[in-house]
Amino acid sequence: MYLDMNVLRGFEELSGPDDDGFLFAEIAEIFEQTTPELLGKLESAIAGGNSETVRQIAHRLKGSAANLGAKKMSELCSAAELTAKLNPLQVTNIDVDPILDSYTKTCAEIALYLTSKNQRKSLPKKEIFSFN
Amino acid sequence: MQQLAGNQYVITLDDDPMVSRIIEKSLSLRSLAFATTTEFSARIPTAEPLAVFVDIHLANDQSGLDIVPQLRARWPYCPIIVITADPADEWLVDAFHKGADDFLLKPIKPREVQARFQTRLAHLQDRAAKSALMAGDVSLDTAHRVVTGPIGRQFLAPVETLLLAQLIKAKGTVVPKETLKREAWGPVRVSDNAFYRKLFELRRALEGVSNSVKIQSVYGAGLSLDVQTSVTPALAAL
Repeated sequence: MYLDMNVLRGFEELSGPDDDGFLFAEIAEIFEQTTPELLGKLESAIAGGNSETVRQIAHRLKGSAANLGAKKMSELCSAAELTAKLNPLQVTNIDVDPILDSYTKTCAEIALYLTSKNQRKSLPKKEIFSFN
Repeated sequence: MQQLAGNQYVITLDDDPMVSRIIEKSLSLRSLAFATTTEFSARIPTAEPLAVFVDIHLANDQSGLDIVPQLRARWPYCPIIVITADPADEWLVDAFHKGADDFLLKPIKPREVQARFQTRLAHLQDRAAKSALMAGDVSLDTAHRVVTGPIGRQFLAPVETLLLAQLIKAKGTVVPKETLKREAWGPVRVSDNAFYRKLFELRRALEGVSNSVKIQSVYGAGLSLDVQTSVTPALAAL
């Protein structure tokens, strides 16, 4: 399992019958929109040995994955962040493939989960809050 | 959960857009999202949020904590809740020193967001109510050290604030000079000269905010706050 069911249940609790949409579907969409770019940057930073960038991006990915309930991916990013922080000279040895793999598998589980909830096709348009 | 009016909102400072959305949905309140401290700083002067959620570690090595003192100064009674992914985050202590009220750990749990928001909001609203003192048409905000009345608003020095607070709490009764000195300066010995100088400044500030609230000196006894109630012309003619 790549998704943490406890986190998913937390989202389900917020989505009552009168709700305007299933929050997890919205969060998953944001996750799928923003993560590929970050993974690309992480891969480049690892290849370039830029430990500070690796630390920052791994930290961001760790948080996003955790918020979505992508536990495995969050753990892998946490390990990468720790390596970049404690052993900056070893940053090029970080294996990005398990992170990429966990992302792909997380997305597959998201799709299965949302299909089971019949939510994938019914995402509401999010109202943008404008500030005056 | 307490129902709040539709025009109320919270602010979320986090480079991850998911966080703002989770908070928004958890609280059933709109969340104004900012990704950088620069964007957020520009909006501080005109914003009046119910609460602020601040991620400690932002993109480009920015720290959300840098803005916390500014937020605390601007909104003394607004809950400031910091967010971190690391429970052993050494920055958490720094966050509390800078004025944060509470923290949330990632992954953000909706029920935890609700609980911390409600608890902090109730606590700070209670503090706000306790820090406002009224005498006639004058109100003293002891947290901001601001006295406000029908003709103006004045900022007070800390000692002046304490003096006025004591006089308001005495509700028109005479407070001995030595009692006022002790309440305002604590154990520090203060000369009469310094005391009357502060009193002069305070009287001047009161004159700038109201015509009906004045400090009266009662010879040999102390000082009191005289609140004149307005009398309508019809009643005055009787």
